[in-house]
Amino acid sequence: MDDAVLVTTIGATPWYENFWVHLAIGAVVAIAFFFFFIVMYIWTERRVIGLFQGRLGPNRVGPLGLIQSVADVIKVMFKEDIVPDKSDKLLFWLAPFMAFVPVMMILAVVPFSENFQIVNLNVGILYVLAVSAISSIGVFMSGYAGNNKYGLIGGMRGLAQFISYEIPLILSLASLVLISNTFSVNGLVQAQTLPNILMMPLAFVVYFVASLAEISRTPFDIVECDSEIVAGFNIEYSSMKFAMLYLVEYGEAVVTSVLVATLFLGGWHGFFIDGPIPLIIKMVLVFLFILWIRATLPRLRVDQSMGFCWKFLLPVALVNLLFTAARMTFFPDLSNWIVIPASFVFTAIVIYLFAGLFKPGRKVAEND
Amino acid sequence: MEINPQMIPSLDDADAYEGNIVEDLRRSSLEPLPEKVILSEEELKELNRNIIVTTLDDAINWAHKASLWPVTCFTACCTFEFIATSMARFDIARFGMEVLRPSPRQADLLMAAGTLSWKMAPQIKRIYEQMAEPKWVVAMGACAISGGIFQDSYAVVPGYNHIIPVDVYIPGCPPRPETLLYGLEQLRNKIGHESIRLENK
Amino acid sequence: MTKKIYEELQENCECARICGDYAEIVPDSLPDCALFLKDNGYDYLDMITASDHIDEFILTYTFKNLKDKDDVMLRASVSRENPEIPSLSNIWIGADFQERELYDLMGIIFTGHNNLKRIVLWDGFEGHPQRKDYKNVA
Repeated sequence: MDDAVLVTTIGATPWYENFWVHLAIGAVVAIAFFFFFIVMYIWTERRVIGLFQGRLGPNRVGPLGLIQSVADVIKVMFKEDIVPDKSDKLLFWLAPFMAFVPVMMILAVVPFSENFQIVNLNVGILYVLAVSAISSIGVFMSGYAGNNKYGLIGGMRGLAQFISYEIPLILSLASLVLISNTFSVNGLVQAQTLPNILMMPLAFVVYFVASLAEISRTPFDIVECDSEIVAGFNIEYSSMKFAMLYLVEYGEAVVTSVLVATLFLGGWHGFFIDGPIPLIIKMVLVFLFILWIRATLPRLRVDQSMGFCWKFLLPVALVNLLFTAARMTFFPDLSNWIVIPASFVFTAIVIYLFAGLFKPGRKVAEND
Repeated sequence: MEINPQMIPSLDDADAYEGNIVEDLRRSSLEPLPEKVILSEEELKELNRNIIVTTLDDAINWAHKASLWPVTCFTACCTFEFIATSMARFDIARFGMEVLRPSPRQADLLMAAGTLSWKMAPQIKRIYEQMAEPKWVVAMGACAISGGIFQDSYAVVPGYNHIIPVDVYIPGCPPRPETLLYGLEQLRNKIGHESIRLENK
Repeated sequence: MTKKIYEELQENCECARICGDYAEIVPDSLPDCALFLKDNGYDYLDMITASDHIDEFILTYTFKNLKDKDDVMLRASVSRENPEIPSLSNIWIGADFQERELYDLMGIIFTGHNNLKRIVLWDGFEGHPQRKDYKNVA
C-alpha cells in the first residue's frame, strides 16, 4: 500500500502544467494577441472612420488595405532616428519603453477562457490598475525628455488627465468587486451569470468614460491632437521610438476593450460556447463603440475635461459605491428581476440629477 | 538654424535678428537649387543586375510608397485643394496618406502648397531640415513652382526650389484634386526607382 | 447732398473743403478733426490707407458710427519730399498697426507714433514697395 502511494506521488506533473511551458505558451499567446489586435485595430479604425465619414479608408495596399499597418511599421523602422542635442538622453531612450511595456503587462491576468490565463492572481484588479498607471509616467517622460515646450505641455496635460480619471475608474471597479466578492479577474468573470453591465449600468458608464480618458481618445484626446498641441508628447520622436509611442495609443485601446469585455460584458461566457471567441467578439464590439464615439464627438478642452472628471464622474462613482455597499449590506439576496430594473432607474436618476445640477465649467450667470 | 536666447535682449533686437536671417536667405537663394539625380535607362539597368538588392529595394520602396505621411505645413490657397482631396470625394486615405503628422520628425512628405513669402521662408527651410530622412517635397500649384502670378513681387520666393529641393512639380492654380492625385502617383513612381545603393539620398 | 457732420466739421476744425463723399483736411489738423468726430459718435476708426499721386501721397481715413450705421471719410495730402502727418495711435490703439503698415509700404512718417517700425516686411528691407517708383531688386 505504501509503495503504491509512494510511486504515484513521485510521478512528474503533466507537461501542460509545468511552470516554464505554461509561461512560454502564455507569453507567446499574449504577445501574438496584442500585436495582432493592434494591427487589426489600426486597420479597423481607418476603415470604419472612413465609413462614418462617407469615404473609403486605405484600400490599395493589400486586399482591402489589410497590410496598411505593416507598411506603416516598416516605413517607420527605416526612418532616420533623431535624438535632439539638448534632450535628456537617458529619459529620451527610456520613455517609449516605459509607455509601451506596462500596457502589454495587463494582458497577463486577463482570462482568455475558463481554464487559461497566464497568471491566476488573486488580486488581479489591483494589479491591472497599478500597472496601467506606469504608462502615464512614460508619456510624461517622453514629453519632458524632448526638450520641447509643446511636448512638455502635452505631457503635463496627459498626466493631469490620467491621474484625475484614475479615481472614478477605481471607484467603479470597487463597486464591481463588492458584488462579486473577489479581486481576481477570472473570479469576476465566473461570478457573472448575467453580464455586469445589466447589474451595474452606472458603474459601466463611469468605467467606460474614465477609460476613454485614460487612453486619451476623443473626446479626451487633448493630449495629442494636431490643432491643439502640435503632436504633444511625441513631438521629438522619429523612427522606432515613435512607432512605440504611436502603438501605445492602440495598445491601450486593445487592453481597454479587453477589460471592458471581461469585466462588464461577461468575458469568455458566450451563448453556445465559452472560450476566447466570444471574448474576441465582445472586444471588437467595444472597440467599434469607441470608434463610433470618436467619429461623432468633438474634442473637450482641458478645463472642460478636468471639470467633467472632478465634478461629475467622481461624485457619481461615489454615489454608486455608496448605494452598492448599502444594498450588499442590507439586501444581499435580492433576486435579479428586482435588481436590474432598479439599477437602470437608479442610473437614469443619478445621471439626470448630476448632469442638471453640476454642469462642468459653468460660471455663475452675471446680470447683463 | 539656432536661436540663441542671450543674443536677443529686446524686441528691436529680435526684429533685427529676424531681418538678418531673411536677408541672408534671400541673398543666398537667387538661383534655384540643382535638381535631384534622375536615373537614365543605363543606370537603371546597372542597378537591376544585383538581384538581391533589387528585391530589398522593392520591399523598402513599397513600404515608403504605401505610407507617405504629409506634414501639416501649408502656406496658402492650394491647401484647400489638398483638404478637398483628403475629404470624402477624392480620398487620399486610400493611399494611406490621411495620417497628417503635425511634427516634422515623424512625417515623410512636405506638400509645398501655396505662395511662399520671404519672411516665411526660413521657417519652411527649418521644417524641411527637421524632417527625418528619407523625405520628399511636392511643389503644388503655380506659386510653389515658380512664384506663380506673384513672380515679380518683392515679397515672394520665386518657387520653393530656391530654398528646398523639390521632387515633383504639380501645375495648376490651384490644381484640381485629380491633378494632385496624378502628381502623387508620379511621386510614388519616383520613389519606386530609388535604391539604397545611391549616394545622394 | 453733403452730410450734416461734414458741415459741423467745417465749422469746428480747419477743413479745406468738402467734396461730396469726403472732406479734405490739412494734415496738421488731423487730431482735432478726429477728436471732433469721436466726440460726435463716429468713434470707430475703420481704415487708414494711402495712395501715391507722384508729387504727393493722399491718405484716407474712414470713421464709422456704429449706432447710426454711418461713415465719414477724410482725406489728407502730404508731399513726397516731407511725408509727415500726426499719428492717431494715441487716440485709437487700432491705428498702431495700420500706420506701421503705411510706413512700411509707403514710407509715410507718423509723428508721435511710439513704435514706427516695419511690420509687413522684414527689418532689413530697403525701399518702400508700394510707391510708384519702386523697382524690384531681385
